[in-house]
Amino acid sequence: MARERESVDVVVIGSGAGGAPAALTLAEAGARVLILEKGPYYSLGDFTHDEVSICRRDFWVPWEHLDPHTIRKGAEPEARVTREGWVSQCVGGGTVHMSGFFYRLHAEDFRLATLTGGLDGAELADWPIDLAELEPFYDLAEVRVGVSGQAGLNPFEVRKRPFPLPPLHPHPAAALVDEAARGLGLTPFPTARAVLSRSYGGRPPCNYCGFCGEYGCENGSKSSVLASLLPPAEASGRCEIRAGCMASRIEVDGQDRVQGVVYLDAQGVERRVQARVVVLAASAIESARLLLLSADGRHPHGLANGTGLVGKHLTLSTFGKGTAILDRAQVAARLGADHMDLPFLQRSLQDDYWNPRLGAALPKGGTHNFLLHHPNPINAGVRMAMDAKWTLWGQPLKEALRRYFHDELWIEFEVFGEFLPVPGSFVDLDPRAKDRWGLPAARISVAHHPVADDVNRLMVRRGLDVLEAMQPRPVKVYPWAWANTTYHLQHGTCRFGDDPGRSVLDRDCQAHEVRNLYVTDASFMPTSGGCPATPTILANSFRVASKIAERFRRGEIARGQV
Amino acid sequence: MNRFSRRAWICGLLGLGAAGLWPRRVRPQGHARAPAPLAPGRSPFDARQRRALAAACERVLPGAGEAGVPGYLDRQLAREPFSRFLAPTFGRAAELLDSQAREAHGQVFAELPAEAQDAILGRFQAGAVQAQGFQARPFFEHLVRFCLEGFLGDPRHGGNRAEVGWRFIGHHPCWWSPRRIDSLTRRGRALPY
Ligand SMILES: Cc1cc2nc3c(=O)[nH]c(=O)nc-3n(C[C@H](O)[C@H](O)[C@H](O)COP(=O)(O)OP(=O)(O)OC[C@H]3O[C@@H](n4cnc5c(N)ncnc54)[C@H](O)[C@@H]3O)c2cc1C
Repeated sequence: MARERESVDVVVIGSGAGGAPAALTLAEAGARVLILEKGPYYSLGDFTHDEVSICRRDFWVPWEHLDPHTIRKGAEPEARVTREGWVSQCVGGGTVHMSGFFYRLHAEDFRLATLTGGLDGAELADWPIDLAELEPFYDLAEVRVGVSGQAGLNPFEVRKRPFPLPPLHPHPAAALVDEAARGLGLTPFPTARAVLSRSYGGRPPCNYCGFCGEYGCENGSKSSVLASLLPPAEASGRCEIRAGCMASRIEVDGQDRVQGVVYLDAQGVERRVQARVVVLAASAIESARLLLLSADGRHPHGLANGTGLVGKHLTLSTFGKGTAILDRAQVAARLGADHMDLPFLQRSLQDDYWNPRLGAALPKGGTHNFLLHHPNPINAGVRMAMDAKWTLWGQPLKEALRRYFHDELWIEFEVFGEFLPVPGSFVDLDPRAKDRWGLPAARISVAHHPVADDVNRLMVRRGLDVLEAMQPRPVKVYPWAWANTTYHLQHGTCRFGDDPGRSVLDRDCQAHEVRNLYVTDASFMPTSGGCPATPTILANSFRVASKIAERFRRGEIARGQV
Repeated sequence: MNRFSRRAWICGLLGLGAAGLWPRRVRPQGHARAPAPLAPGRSPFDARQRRALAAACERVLPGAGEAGVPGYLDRQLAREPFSRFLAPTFGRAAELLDSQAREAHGQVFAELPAEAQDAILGRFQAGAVQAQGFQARPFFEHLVRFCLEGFLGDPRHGGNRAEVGWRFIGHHPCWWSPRRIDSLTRRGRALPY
């Protein structure tokens, strides 16, 4: 078969936030790029508001008996099968169903070890690059995908350029959060969104339907890489996206240069493609797994793993959440009845991003994102039943639903904070659980650093203070989660650094031990940062791809016959 | 092959979504082209079990019957992976609903008055119903979830008949309203920022 001996310049494994910018940049630079994507290739028409199919089944992530992870939390002796730890499996990866709240890292994120002087029990490390090196690529990423926001209102963020698009229209109740937060001496700012506020690059503006998180955008207005980066990559004529194809092994030659990728195609047939460069971007957990699965006689512990560090230093994001229930009529009486059905609150706080007065052993916190409760009706009902420990059912449940949709306005905040790297958090191969192809599943071990949990609690307390200070006074304010974890945000399994003994990747995200093997999802991040990392993954992927393109230009990497 | 991988397969072969296929105009009713509805499949329950479960649904969410929730439950539990993991639990629960009802009142669950049915369901909720290999509380939670899905989910799954659930909450989850942006721009309403 022709495909058996196929050869391209670059194979990109995974088409999400880490893969797409590299694929686009390299295709535009003239390389022949093949993207292998495990999941399906959805088009706009597949993205409906059918909550059952899209949010509550296997639209994004296969069932765990077909494609398991296993997880072991804290001191649990045995890992159990779970669906946690997948972001999404489809062309575009997790950017397709993300909410698109876009935050940049701050200067402190790059030097946490130095700034703190270290912290007992945490394996902190500075980044080998600084914010100044990444900043132009944040700008580039924002322009290429389309981000809406208002520059200059977040005093804690460094940025020189305006956003490519003006901010989205906030719900009128944003004024309540602003007022309450300012009254407490805080600095609310409009949340930047990877959602178009105006037509941009041939894509229409947002229609304010509010079905962003956990949905695909049927309008093409959400700036997923599926909507923004992959179409021009394909249009270049040099980038092919092969959906339903799972990379199962990366191969190297006798000099430890990358040689190609073995993958299972949509029919489950094993195929091989040769490549000068392999860009691995399968998400932090799955990229570590693939390197471990690529063990061979000369690399018994996996590829790029002579140090044993692949899979170590897994960081997630600490998570907390609080809710305020307001009386819709009182809010309308204060703010007017207009636009009360707008879906986005669009407010954030980063006063605790780096705050020595926070009162914790670590001044490093993160981000408060204020938002309206998602318009999903089934989810709303389940949430209310769950909050009442399942004692809410029957007529009272119906009455609660009616109140929720007719009388109440739910304003919430989510806290995303630094998840400290600890020896107990890592990824390895599960000795028992296998996926549908018979390959060992990733086993995720998760341990919390107590200080990160303390910081998270203080931040949740701060969020509750804001909610409680709102006027009209909420009918009810309550914490929903704290000292928790979100597995949607994952980083750090292949740290980058200048010391090959203490990191897997070099500062350009090339494996120290395998020439021409790059990793561009969040695996490279030595520390998690205090906000969701998608813009950082995009920016870094653009940065790394520009280095690879430069090597092609210099002739350092030969281009294959076309 | 499950639905997911079959989809992947078909999309991969046809190259759907390749550049240039992005529709210019957005269909307001995007769900018209949603994945095909589930094959009804054979019910995992016998008539008696179905009757008990239907009565339980009606108590968990009054109006469930009118909305077609019991049929929805049936169809969902007939398909993978629920047919394997949940259908046996629900079948067992149906038997237990009836046996509890018979023990206390000498009648099957579906024939009891509402208060008596609620009392029995309350025991499931509290985890007080004990039987070998059966966990009452998780069953009850799943029952509430399926009732909410069948009441408020897209009607193409067979529940939420005539959109009765959406009419009840007065909120159509499939609406699409370009007027909203028009009204914002036309009024030239100043933003807070
Ligand atoms: C509900 C939700 C909401 C979110 N909202 C936000 C937000 O508001 N802001 C934000 O910044 N972030 C958000 N995120 C996080 C965001 O989705 C991730 O940060 C981002 O997608 C990670 O990028 P990645 O490249 O590491 O992985 P992904 O984007 O997940 O891409 C990895 C891709 O690799 C594929 N793959 C895996 N293994 C293989 C293999 N062996 N062979 C071939 N392909 C493979 C996967 O199918 C997947 O498509 C959200 C996530 C979720 C789940």
